[in-house]
Amino acid sequence: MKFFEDIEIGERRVLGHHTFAQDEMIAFARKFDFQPFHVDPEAAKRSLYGALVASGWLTSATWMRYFAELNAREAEAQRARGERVAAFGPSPGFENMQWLKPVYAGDTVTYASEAREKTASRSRPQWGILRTYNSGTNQHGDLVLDFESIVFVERRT
Amino acid sequence: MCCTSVSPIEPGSDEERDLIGLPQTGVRRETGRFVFTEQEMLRFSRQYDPLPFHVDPEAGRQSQYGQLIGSGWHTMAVWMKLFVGAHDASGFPPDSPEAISPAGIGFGFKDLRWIVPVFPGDEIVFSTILDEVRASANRPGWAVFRRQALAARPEGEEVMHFVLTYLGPLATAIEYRAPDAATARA
Repeated sequence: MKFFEDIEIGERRVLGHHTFAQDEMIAFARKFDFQPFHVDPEAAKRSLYGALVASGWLTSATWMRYFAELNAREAEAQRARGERVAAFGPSPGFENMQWLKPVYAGDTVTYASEAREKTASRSRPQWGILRTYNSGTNQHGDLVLDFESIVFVERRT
Repeated sequence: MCCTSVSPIEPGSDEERDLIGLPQTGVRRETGRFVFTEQEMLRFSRQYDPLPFHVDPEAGRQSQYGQLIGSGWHTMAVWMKLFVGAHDASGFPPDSPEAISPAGIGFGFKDLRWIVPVFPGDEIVFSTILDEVRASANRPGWAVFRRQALAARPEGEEVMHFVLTYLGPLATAIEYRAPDAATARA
């Protein structure tokens, strides 16, 4: 993660691409979202979707995974260059998660995050508040999910 | 003889609720309790939220919280797990809404707040409050639901909150009428 001052509004980061395998979709859904169209390919054929679809909680959590992994790689590269790495705090939450299109087995989703707004934190002067627009887009270019999040990012002081 | 005057039924009115059997809103219903063991928290975080303060107890100790904290995404997923578990699809014909999607097809959610962290060993109480339900105009047997998803510590401190919107079986809504359902699965 860059320092708060170094982040430019409109800057869009592609976090990664993920191809959803049927096994992974079923394993997640058995644990957290065991509805027929998420765990049973036969039952899914009778559903509104016509085939097995990934739980929205899985496709959303996978955004987080790629966000965290990219940050870890960037931090490692920064440390290797002898640069200081900006810290960011646990997120207080986010807004307007939309599951816009189903994700089927074999679909590849590209996850991205775009800086939308920066504000100073009054209560924590060493942190800035960054609002981002986050998305997942499938291999056909269709948006499958999007949401806005808020994260505390360290200031370069 | 003509015409007894019948006033139209206002959509979303109490009269409409009574006629089509929709539940009264605003009742908090507990869906279950869950103990977040350190092992379970680490397993989830390593897979979906590998930030240092979620996956490394030492990084957790050095953080502002002084210990490992659970992933907020894990708390959400467990809310869903218990919510789905609160529905029973057995006995419904395979092409009925209840069998197709017992807990509903999510459109998304808003106003997510992770209020305080979950620490290893914490027991969390999960519950839900139905805010609004409307019979679907073009899909018979289905309804559009808006409900609050809640997680709290046993002594009442709120941990997480969001508002979920989904298309679900209308009959499931009717089942929620039971005001004492909260204790059934505690």
